[in-house]
Amino acid sequence: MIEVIDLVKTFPTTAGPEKRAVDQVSFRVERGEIYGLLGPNGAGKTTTLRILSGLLRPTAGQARIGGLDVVEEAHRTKQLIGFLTANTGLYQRLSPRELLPYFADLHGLNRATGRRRVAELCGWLGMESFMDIRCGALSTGQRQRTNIARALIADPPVLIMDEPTLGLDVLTNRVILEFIRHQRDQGKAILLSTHYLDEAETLCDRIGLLHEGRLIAEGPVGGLLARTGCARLSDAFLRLVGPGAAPALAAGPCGPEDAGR
Amino acid sequence: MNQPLRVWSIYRKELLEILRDRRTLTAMVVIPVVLYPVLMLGFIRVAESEQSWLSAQRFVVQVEDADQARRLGEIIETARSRREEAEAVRATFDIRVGSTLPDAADAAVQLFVRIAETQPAGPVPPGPPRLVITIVYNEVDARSRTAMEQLGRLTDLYRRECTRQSLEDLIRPQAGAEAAADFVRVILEPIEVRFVSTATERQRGGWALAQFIPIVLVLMTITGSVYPAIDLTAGERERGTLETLMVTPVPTLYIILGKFLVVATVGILTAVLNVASVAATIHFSGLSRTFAEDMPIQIPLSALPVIVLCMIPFALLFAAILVAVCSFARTFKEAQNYVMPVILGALVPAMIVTLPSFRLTGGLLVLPVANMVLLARELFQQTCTPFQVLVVLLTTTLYAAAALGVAVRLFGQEAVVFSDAGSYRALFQRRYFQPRSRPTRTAALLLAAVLFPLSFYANTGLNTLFGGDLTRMLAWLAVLQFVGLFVLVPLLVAAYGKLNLIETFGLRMPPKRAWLAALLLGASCWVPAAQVAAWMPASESLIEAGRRMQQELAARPLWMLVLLLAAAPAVGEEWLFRGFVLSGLSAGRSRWAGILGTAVIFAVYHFAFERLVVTFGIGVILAYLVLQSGSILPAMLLHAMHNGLLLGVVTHAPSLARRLGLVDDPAATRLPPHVLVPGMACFLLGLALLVGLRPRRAAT
Repeated sequence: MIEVIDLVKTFPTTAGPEKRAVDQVSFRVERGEIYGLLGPNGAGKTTTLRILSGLLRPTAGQARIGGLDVVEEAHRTKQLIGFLTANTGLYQRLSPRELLPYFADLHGLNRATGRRRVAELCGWLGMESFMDIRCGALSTGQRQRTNIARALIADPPVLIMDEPTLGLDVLTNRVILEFIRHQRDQGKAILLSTHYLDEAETLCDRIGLLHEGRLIAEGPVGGLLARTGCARLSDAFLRLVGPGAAPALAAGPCGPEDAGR
Repeated sequence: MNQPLRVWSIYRKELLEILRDRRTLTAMVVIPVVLYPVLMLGFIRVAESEQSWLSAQRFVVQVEDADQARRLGEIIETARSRREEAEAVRATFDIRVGSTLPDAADAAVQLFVRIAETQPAGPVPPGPPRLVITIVYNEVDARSRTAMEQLGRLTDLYRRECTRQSLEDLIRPQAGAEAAADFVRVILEPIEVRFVSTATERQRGGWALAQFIPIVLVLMTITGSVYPAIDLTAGERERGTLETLMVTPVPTLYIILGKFLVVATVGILTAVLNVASVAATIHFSGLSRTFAEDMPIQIPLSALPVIVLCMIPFALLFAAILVAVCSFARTFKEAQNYVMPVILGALVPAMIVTLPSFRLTGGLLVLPVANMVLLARELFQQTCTPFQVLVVLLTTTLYAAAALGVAVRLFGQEAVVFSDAGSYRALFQRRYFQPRSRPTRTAALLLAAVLFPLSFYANTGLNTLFGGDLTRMLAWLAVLQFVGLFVLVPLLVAAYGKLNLIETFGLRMPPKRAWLAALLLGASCWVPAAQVAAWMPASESLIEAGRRMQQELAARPLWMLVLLLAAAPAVGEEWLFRGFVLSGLSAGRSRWAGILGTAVIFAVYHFAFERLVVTFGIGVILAYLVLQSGSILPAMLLHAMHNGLLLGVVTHAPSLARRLGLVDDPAATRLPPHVLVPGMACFLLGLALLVGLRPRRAAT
């Protein structure tokens, strides 16, 4: 459903050479799969997700959603995507009940379908109590639920989420993770980036590790653990991207010296 | 939901949101509805009461000695008792004797007066002495100044009374006491001049309005639209909602259109509310009497639609420019900095043309903002022509479209949306440009908008420079306008923008059928053109100008005519309009939008109201020819033939012209059937050939 082939993105910098934020990255995400992009800050996760959602133009390589190129067919691929980030803003002076139909309109849903989707999402995400409060007055958790409803309003087959659970309390976190699993079970292709490795370990079917713009490892969580010899994903992560871990996959299995880290 | 309907969705939502914002409401409603009347009334009342309070004051006047005190008292008394006009001077004066000049800080004394007698050098034997009254006052002290004005009026009345008295004394022995007074009146005022204006009260009201309403409109539209423009663009980015908007499947053009319409709406609403509030304030407070005693200032209800009409194009243009400028900003503060020069740029020309000597002619017709202000004034005075209205509306539309194009290009650019995604240089520096096959719509519109005033100024400038010498004027026009502006500038822009020159300018060999179609159409286009032109007869002055030009041209060699009036315009105009502009506007699926848009721009550039329809029609045919043949070369041929054939025949083969029925105004004659029928047949055959061609530069 999502295909990324030799993707490159460079940015001009004020001085010196261009910065290669994404460097020859390739991966695929299938239907009914949650794919986690992991990596330290500045690894290129957000840039990759932004290219896929049509916010940035790739410098080279290709990104496809449902077989369509995200640059050439931007209009059609955007119809297939639900996009969500941790710091996505909401219109402060609109209530969820006004905001959601607006996005339904923008996605081209007809009035009846729009109303039905708003009612469905409102029920699933438990939003009834705050549907008429302006977004400016909502709590972080309520805001993120509204945001998820906003992203899913057109029932897109692909979900792209940049740190969807950043800064949320345990309860909202649980609701949202459950919701993501539920979406996966419905056959959606889900691509997310996260800092929470424990969360990634339990949530993601497959994982790609980004470091300095390059995809240094990829595979099911179990496979990655086996290849690094670590028991926890966070250990494997540190082993792969940490200082001195340059020839990543050539590094030895997790030994006792890792325990103190 | 239907795509363009999403503009409406965006418009509705943005308007709702912006109207819920306290800051918008303050600027739009509270300021005009509450603050104006309060401020204006308050100001006037304070000024009035202060003035009357000051006038009715007692003032202390100091003189040097008792004798002068007595004389001053006499002067005041005489003026008061003998002249009716003295009633207006309500102040009373306490005269005090003191030997020193009071200093500026002495608040107790307002005036110092010295009265002296001098013997004038003139008559022998010496006549009566002359009185010199010196009034010393402090200019910066309001009380002192008022005292001076009031005492000054009394001394002036006294002077006139003395003159009258002296004359009467002189005449009385001869004429007797009764007649002397009448004689003196005639001597002192031998002439009475009365002015009678033919303007009706309403016109005078309109004139007064016309002086200040346009500038109020400009100011208020600016006040109303600046905040929403920043809030809907830079504000959206700052609050983090821009990303969610950009990932929706809505083209940037629609997003910008929705936002732009909201900005314009709020601007217009603000201006309407302001004007209504000013009108109500003036109407209900009786302020008009304060402004001018005999000039009723009131806004007639019938003028309100006119007011609204002339503010709409300005509001649209200003909204478009603001949205474009603010789309470039990453933060609210940054946007505020960018907006300042725009406001100044709009205000300065608006203020300057408020001077009554400026009229809506010449270069001012196409000067953005200034032409709107002038048009508003002319509309109020009901002195404008449809031509002026049309030119101003069309040029304003062109400028607004170009500004919107820029906004679409900038809004949502990665460098603007994500500050971490690089610098603005990526937007302007050539090395960051990706090669393109043809210009964007924005680039096409922008180039057309920038070249339009330049071409206009080149035309009018050369006309004034070489007014008498037609050949030199035309030669310079060919060099400056057709080669310089229309060929070189687009070429440089295309090269800088890494555009594919062959695609952009349609530099291919066309199929043979296209040449044939161009040949047929070039030879016959003037036939339908003449028929259309006959329905919209040109003005006498235009026909006369044409006739004079024909006579001058008849004296020049034919080759010069062909070069300057056929070849140069054909190459230059095709290069710009059917090259750069058409390839930009017809990108994507908008083939006919491109053809029609190019034709409108082409017609506007020709600047002749009477020929608008004909120029537009020829523009459509030329653009269609280029898209069908994939080349501008046949269009150049058609254009050159159309320009050159008719002119050549009229100027250099008068007998043939007569046989064709071209006697008077060649482009607007009803043609005889033996010309009309074959001409139309040739034209239709050319069109048929053209329609039959397989389009080479169709949508990609």
